Amino acid sequence: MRPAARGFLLGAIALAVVIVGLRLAIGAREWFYGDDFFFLTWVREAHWSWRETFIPSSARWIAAYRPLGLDGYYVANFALFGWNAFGYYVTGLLLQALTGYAVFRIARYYGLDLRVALASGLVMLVAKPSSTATYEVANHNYICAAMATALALLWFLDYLRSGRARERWASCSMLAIAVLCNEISAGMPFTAFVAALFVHSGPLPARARKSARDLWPHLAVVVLFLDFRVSGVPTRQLNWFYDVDVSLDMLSNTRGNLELVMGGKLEFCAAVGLLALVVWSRFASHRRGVPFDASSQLVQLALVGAVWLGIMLLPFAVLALPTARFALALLPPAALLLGAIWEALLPRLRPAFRSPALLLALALLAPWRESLEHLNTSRGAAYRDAHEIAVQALRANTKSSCVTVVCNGPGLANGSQCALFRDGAFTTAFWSSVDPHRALAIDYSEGGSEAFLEQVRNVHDCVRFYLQRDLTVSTEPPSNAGDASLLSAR
Amino acid sequence: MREALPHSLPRQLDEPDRAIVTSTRKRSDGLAWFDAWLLRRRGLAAVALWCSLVAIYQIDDSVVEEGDAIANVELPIALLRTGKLHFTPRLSPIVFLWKSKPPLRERDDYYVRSWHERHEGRAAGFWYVTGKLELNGPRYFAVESPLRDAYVCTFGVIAGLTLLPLSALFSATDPDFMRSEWLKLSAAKLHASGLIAASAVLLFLLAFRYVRPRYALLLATAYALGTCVWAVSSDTLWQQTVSIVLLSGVMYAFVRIAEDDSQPARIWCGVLLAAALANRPTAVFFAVAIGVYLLRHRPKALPTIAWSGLPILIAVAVYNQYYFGSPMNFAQELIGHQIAIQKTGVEQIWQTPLIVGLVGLLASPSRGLLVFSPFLLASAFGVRRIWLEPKYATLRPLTVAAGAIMLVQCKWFDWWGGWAFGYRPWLEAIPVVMLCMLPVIESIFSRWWSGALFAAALAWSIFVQGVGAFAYDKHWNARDLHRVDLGGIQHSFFTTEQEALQYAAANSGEYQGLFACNIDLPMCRYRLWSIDDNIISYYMHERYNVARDNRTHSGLRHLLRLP
Repeated sequence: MRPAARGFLLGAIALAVVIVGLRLAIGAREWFYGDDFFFLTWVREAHWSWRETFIPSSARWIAAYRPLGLDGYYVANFALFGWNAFGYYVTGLLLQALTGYAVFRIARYYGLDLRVALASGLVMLVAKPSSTATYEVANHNYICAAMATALALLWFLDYLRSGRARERWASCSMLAIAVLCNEISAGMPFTAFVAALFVHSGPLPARARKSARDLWPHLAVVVLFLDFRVSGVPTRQLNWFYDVDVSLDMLSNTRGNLELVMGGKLEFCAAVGLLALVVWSRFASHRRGVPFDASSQLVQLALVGAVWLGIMLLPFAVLALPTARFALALLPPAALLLGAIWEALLPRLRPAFRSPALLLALALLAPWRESLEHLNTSRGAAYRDAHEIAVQALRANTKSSCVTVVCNGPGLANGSQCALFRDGAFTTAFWSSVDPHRALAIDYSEGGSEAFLEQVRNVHDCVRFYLQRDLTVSTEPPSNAGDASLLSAR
Repeated sequence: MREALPHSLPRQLDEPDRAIVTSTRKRSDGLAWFDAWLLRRRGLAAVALWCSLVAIYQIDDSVVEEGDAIANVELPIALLRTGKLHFTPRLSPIVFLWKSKPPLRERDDYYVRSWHERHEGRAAGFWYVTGKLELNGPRYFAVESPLRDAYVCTFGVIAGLTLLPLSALFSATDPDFMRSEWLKLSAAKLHASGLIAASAVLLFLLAFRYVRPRYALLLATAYALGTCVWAVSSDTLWQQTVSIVLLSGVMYAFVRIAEDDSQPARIWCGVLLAAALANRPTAVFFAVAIGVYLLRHRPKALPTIAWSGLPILIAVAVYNQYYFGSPMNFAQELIGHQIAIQKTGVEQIWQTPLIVGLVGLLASPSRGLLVFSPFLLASAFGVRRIWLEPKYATLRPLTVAAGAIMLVQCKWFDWWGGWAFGYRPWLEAIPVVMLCMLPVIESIFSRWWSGALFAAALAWSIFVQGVGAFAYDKHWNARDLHRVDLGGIQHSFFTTEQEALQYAAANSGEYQGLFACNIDLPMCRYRLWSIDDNIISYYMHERYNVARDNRTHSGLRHLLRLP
């Protein structure tokens, strides 16, 4: 290994260790959060079954059909770690590391420099969404889907190179896993199709035919999945939640999602600027007489990355809900595109500056400020405390018939930040440590439901705890209850 | 040619080559005479095959009254009696629902086969004239015409019309024929078995082109006895029975057009294709696939095919216009939504998730193709060869059409085919599935182990079909099971009372006694996936003797005046 590469490798390892260490430190202080409580309750209910998970007979409260990314993920992790949320977090981290490996391999497939390929893989670990959007286990289905999609593409590329049937079927199986983790992966065959177009020879229609023939098992998987998703899964999704908006807003939604991928406006603008620089420099070279090689591996990678990113962005763009968890699924193609940009720009620098520049770029992508802030503030910990207090109160107060933790008071805007409450029934299965004949109510309602609060107020003999805006738990109702402006303040 | 080889070629290599060739020749010598005989006496072999199969299909000496076939069987009788293509309650009471009053058992769907049939000691006609039986609309296999005071067959007229000659013959020779449902069913079974045997003969003649004659015969026999065409299609006059033979004829004619450029085959192809289209809409996949292929390779054949099929299509359009007010309105389409609501609670007819239908029709213990006819798995390997080797290019459009039909049936709300034995919805595609075996059948028997596996799978398939043909009496589809209610909409069913009581006690449920668990009811549909409660073992172990008794004795001897 050349000294420059060795230096980069050491620097990258150091950076990865620091970032992973930070993420683990934050993870150790966090607890379950938001929708996690729904799934932790659901997968432990008596009538839960694998059959019901994969072939649901009725709609659940959260009707997303992601049997591997949600139910299966919670079941496996609960079996391994129980109520230890840190274990779930480590699982997510390992999956992201595996995705990083897949991105590295794809980058190498397209001939990227070892350092650049490594940096692309490391983006999966250091990018901002990886550090901020992974504490809620319910978001991990995006990590699983990204990992499985990246591996499916990688093995398909391997198949294209070697022609070995086992790699094709491995890729197809991984695609099946990906779509069962999150339907967002259903566009993978199109990305693979574009990649295959470059591999085959002959005129475009012949190449397209060969590529389609290579991909027929993948297409079959996608068709079967989408058909089942549409006609076989009972739906109960809230209308406003998936309000499809096909308009010019798609552009601003796309920009919002890309900003979340890159970690902020500045980073997004920097990436766009660098991309523009690459395009301009190629154009300038062309004008100076350097032929533009449209079939070069770098252009292929850029095209494959752009198609992958575009396909992944499309459903998010029409949903008008840019959130960091979407960015988790967008990271692999974004990392490949960044790799293509770096590969194009790196030769412009002096050799001595190349490794430091790459390391600097990676370091700039890492969310240092947010991570350090996060070390002092734990969102999930408030729920852990609420849980413990509630359990203790219920044990101590033998007269009360229930304990209510009102989590989505006016201080907390999102109703799904707390645990399960369905159809007015208090769930008892959630905490096995509590006497099952005693009810424990945890609010789960939409956007701070006044109806729920009213219902809780009318329950007699109930010990109530209120989750405050500062994420502490109090027995007093929030003094500013009903102040709608606070809802939007968060 | 041998002189052209280089003299330096090592002599040692020649020996084993010759030895291999010799040994292969020796092995095949045993049956070479049979191949030669079959090749020489192809017509005789075809006739012998047809006769043997018809005889085998009749050997169970019993008939089953299948709801879907009743209207098809009744149609030629109505035509012979009235000269019209619709039913009236007076002449065809079996096609209608009757509301009964005491002393008859009170029901809204009372069953009257004929007015001569005795109920509570008197003929049904007596109860009708005394007002104890009132018309309560058509059964699902008849549709009321919105334009005329008439009820027509849900499944079109083609199936019924094919039975017309035989019905005319028997009604001329036997005065009881028109009044006896038993004799009509027996005639329908004879007709259906003749049609299925004809489709096997067509397959045999088609296979001749691609494999040695003995394998052609093997495939035709495997098709006729190892697939559900024996237990289901040959048993009575289903709409599909006619479709199978028409599409087999289309396939044969198409291959002759594509490979021999045969002129008569063009006319036959057009006539049969139009009849198949008029009989069952799924034939449209064959029309499109064959049309596209011929457009590329034999464009001159298309006008002849179109012209020869046109009269049938015009006749069907006139029929639809007359009864339904539009040439494109089909009875099956009109009633499909109603049946979908009855069976699933949802009006959409394409509501089944593809993967559910696909897995069900492939592997369900009571419906799966690979369970009832596992030897057909070999076709999956054959499809690959068909698409890779130019020799089989003619068969490609047929695989596309059959694949499309199979997929469409998977999406159909009634993917399990209602009350049936085996994979009834896929039966139309089975001749093509058999053709897909052509590229691999010889290589299967070139290795002892694959030949043994195939033979074992085929033996199992024939055994299962035999069980179905001899014992299937429809009872499994709504068998009595012990029901336990768990509150709300949850129910559990058990085959023994003891199991049900134990389960009820353990889960605070309520034992409800016996319940006819009809697979068409959503709560009983789980039975299609049950290994313990599967239709094969039910008829094989639990109910063979009872089911045999339940099947009506065939009236063929009576019709043919046999002792």
